[in-house]
Amino acid sequence: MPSRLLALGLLLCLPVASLFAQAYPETHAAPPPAIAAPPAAPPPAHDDHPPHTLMPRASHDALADKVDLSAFRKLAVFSAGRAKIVDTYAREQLQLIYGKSRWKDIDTNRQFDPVFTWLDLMLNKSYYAQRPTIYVEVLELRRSLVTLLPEKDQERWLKYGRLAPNLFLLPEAQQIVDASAADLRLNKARVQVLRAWRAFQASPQALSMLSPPASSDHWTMLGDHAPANNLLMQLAEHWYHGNASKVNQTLNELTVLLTNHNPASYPSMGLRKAEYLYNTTHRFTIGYIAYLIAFIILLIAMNTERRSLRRTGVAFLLIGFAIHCIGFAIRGILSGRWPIHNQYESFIALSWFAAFTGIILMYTKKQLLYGTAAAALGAATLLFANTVEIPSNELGQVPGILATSRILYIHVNIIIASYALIALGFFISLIYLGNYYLKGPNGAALRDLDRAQMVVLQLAFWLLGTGTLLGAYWADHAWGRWWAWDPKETWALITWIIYLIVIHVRFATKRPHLVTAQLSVVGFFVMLWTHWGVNMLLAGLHSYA
Amino acid sequence: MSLKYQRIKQRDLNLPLPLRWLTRAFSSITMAICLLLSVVAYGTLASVPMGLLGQGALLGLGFIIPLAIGTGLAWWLGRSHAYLGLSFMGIALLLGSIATIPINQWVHQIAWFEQYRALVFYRLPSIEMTELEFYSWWPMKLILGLFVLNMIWATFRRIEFCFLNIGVLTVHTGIVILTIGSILYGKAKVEGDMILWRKDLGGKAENIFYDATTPAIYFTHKDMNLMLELPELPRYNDHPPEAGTFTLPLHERTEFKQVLGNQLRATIGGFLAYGELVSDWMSHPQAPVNPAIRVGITSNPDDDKATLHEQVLIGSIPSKRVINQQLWSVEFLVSPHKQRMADLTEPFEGAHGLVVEIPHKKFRKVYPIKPNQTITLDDTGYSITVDDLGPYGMSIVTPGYKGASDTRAMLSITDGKRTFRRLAMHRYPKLTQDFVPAPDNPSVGPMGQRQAPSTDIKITYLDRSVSQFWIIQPDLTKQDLTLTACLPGQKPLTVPFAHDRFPVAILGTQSIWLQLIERLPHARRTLKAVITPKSKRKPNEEGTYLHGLIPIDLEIDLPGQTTPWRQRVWLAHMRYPNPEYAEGFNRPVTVHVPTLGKVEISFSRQRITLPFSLTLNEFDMIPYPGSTIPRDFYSDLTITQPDGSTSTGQAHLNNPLVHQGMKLSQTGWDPGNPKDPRNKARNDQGKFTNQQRYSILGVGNNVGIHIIFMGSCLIVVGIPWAFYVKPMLIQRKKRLIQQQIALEKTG
Repeated sequence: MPSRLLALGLLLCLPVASLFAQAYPETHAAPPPAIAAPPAAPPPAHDDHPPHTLMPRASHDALADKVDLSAFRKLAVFSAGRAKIVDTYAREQLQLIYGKSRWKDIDTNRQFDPVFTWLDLMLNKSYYAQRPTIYVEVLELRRSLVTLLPEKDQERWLKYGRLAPNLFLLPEAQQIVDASAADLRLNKARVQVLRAWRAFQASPQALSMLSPPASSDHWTMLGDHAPANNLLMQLAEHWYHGNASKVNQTLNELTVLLTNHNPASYPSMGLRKAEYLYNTTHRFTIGYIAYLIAFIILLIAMNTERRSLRRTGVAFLLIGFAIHCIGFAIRGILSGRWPIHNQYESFIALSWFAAFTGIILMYTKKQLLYGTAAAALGAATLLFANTVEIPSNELGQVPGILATSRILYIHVNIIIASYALIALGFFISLIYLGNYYLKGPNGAALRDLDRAQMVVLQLAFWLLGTGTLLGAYWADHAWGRWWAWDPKETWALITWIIYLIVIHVRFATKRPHLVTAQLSVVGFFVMLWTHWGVNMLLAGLHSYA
Repeated sequence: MSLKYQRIKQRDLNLPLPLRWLTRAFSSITMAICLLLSVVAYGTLASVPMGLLGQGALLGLGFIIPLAIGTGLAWWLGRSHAYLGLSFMGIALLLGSIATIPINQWVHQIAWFEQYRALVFYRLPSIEMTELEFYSWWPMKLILGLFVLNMIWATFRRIEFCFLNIGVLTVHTGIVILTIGSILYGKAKVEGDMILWRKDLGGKAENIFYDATTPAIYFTHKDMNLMLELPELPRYNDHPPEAGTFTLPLHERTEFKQVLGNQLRATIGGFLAYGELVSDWMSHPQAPVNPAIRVGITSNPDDDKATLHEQVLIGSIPSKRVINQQLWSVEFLVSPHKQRMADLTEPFEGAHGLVVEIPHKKFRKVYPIKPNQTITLDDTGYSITVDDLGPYGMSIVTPGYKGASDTRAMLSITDGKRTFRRLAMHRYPKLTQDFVPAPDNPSVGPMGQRQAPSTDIKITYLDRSVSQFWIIQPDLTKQDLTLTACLPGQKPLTVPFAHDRFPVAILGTQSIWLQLIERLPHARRTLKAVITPKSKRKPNEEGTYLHGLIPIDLEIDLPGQTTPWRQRVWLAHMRYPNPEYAEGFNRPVTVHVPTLGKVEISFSRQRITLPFSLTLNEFDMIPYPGSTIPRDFYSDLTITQPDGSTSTGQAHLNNPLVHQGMKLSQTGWDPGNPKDPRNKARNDQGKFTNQQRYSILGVGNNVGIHIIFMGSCLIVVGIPWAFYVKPMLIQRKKRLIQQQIALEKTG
């Protein structure tokens, strides 16, 4: 019998067709693909230039060299609830599409300006069709997608982290992406890819770049304004032909047109320049350099007692702090609110407040130690913000529940201040521990250090308690329950308990200073967990905080 | 140690031993710290999933052990060689970090960690509490109670009651007051939500809200409505009825007997925490004979996971007995006519064929055919022209065939005298029809008059352009099956269907198989409860009952019968038990109980009555200026007292309406269906008609919140006194004393 079945099987050598596509019964047909329509077609063919030819790399790179975007990048565009400059918008879009703000040519290793690449992506899509461009963040999804490529190329593309837009036009790729919707964990990956794809497909005509008249606050899209649309068409054509001088000329005309359309409602040049500066300095996080220099010099100064070193160290600390201040202030001005509404903002605010307190204490208590700790903290936090992509670092509107409360401002500010002090206390305690273990338990500096850590930690304890209780007051008001044992609440309490123990354990131990310093280190990590880990790893009501 | 405590300790020596120990323990700071650490441990256990906790502990150990060794060495060496010590510390840090990598990899291979990755302690089957219940469980109450006792006792015995210490005394008093407030709060708390429809859409005054956590079951019988609270119901874990791990008899409750009498027995036979009801074909021995088979299409029959698709083929329903693919098709035939089988297995060359029979001339012959071909049927006088071959374009509307598809041959038949057309169907020969020209009848179109096929000539059309398989059950009651396969260009083959699978398509090394999964001799459509796999559950909806399912087993003894009447119904959870909020299977179920009549059952939440009623006058969204991004939502409400007096108020996001100690907060609203273009429709008054139709209000009380607030204020005020004012006062006192001493010296 099995042999007969086998014979039957062998009879079934059917013509090679896309069998698997048909293997699914019709009732099980995949839903229409969420990835729609291929990328926009290139501009209409010109007589002297046949359509659909790929721009050679040499002319592409030459265009990138010659095109002048200095004025264009500072134009305003309205998106996600605020008017931002093109430079910011281009960075955001590339972040979405490519996962980084600077596109890199994998063969020449050349990196391109974000605004250039963004314009190029919209006006010259075909250039990117075969190049690694669409960011696929999650490795598992990337791995399934590269299986559609020839085997010898798979490993290479897997490493790029970005896949070619052409690949996504394959129905199989769409099926793979759609199928990820079924798995909750992979669904995140799918949403990311769909967002990247949508941003990749964007048309320049849909950009709201014409400022509103006095009677309205509605920005007009380029495509809805005939002269602007006309210029855009010309730009597209010159761009497509790699004609840099004509491109520059059209960009200038566009700049003039847009800034003079409704000058009254157009964001001021000063503000736009500030935003550009904000972007090019990595949101002023480069202040870490000054902080780092200050920390090293102050550390030496503390041990050598040389006045010149002290002065230089303090000067660098103040420079670092000034940069930090400007970054914080510009963000506030650009977003039009006190910038503490997401993780990036609260992180910057936290380190700013800690540095501020450190500097104030340095002057009032006349101890260099506070300044040293402030510099260490400023350097560590700004370096972190500079190198690691902290979630929700885009400027934008905030969820309704956060926007309609005044208590929130006080609650969050107080909590952030207490976290900042905990961080400052941590650095002081580290210096204490270093002194204790390296110079022995009887060092003269230890008493001062202990007093310093207690000053900071006591204030942190009070602020954390007050902030948490204010949060409870707010929760009672907004959620109808003052204490819900939500993970964030629980961990705020646990953090507070650690410092409650710090304060009381001093009565019950023979070496209160040392135990305080050790618990301060523990408390700092608990605080980090409360501030970051809880948001990342535990689900709860505070997921936007 | 304070002077006061030294005095008291002296006095303690007179106490008997166990009492002395007890009072010492409760005066000690060590005990307070231990209790606080217990709170930390409890909170950690209650907030961090067990897998993560285990992983964290292992990683921490992997990091800390080398670090501890390194630090020890550093300390030992550091006393004489500071920099050597420092470098050891650095090496230890590095080693600790490196150690975490293999541990992390190892952890990911252990199933336990994967299984408990998202499982918090209180969700274990033996515990099954909500987060809040877990925190108010007796161990936590015990820890907190001991801590407060410890604090009070220590305060009395250690701290001097003087002006200087007013700070710490205030803080400790604040903590006690806050505790008293929370006890009151916890005891009296009610919390839930209610749904209100806009008045202009027919919304009425409502005075009922539903508890946030407690589930309930509702029975409606003869205008009587019975609610039974189900606090015993599990939350996170599945208890399928066949496992028998959870049953809950409802008929033992007095309220049940009052409404539904002593005869009916109702038992909750299980609980599915996260699942859905699916309508499926199942075999019921009591049901009439209705043979069906469940088949799976699979790319690898030895691997369960390779199954691409499952389908039930029902012999009695023409449209449901077939799987049609572009390259192959399968049909399940039950007791087909012998003649039909003979026709189907007729051999011929080519992709299409006709079996032609002219009964009165005893003519029967098989012809391979192609489009536009004309066949002369020997000397019978008949000839047939094949006009067209291909799919039957329209969807079939004949009852029983609805939704089916087929291929057909369009033929022109001439018998010498007249010509007519015949539409010969391949799979459903019963749908074969004739079209006879009727030029005199103006109401008949050019196709001709449609009528049943002429019995003079019988034509069976056979389509073998794709592989055709028939699974045949020759006898309605016997279980034997045969398999008939007609492959393009091959002789038909019929074998007993002994194995439960066969290949339907082979392509290189890949093959597609059809696998018989199950026989359903008495198939009937039934609701089936399917547990949602863990990976597909929405984490924030676990434990909320939103996807909860319960089976209710109803049983009643019938007079004169030995076996009782029994029925099981599955109930899907409804957020609000009213029939107007029914959606899909989340609806009340009506059961006709013999001798009792109609009983309607629904599974929802505990109902609580407000002392007043609410009407929703208006619901609106306030956007950010210049955009459509919502900034605020509000409900405009009329509050009606039992005596008929009314007042109005608005509940905004973050700004609730408080009335008679009840807080009414804006928590939800009707978003409509954003994908529906009609979603933006507005009526004459400019109000939305397909969205913002209802508002959901959170309802809750806040007994004792003022006490809690007072306690909090004391804590907040007391701390700075203890930290800043007290040292300042001591400093001043010191200065004064020093000045006095100096004065005395000089004097």
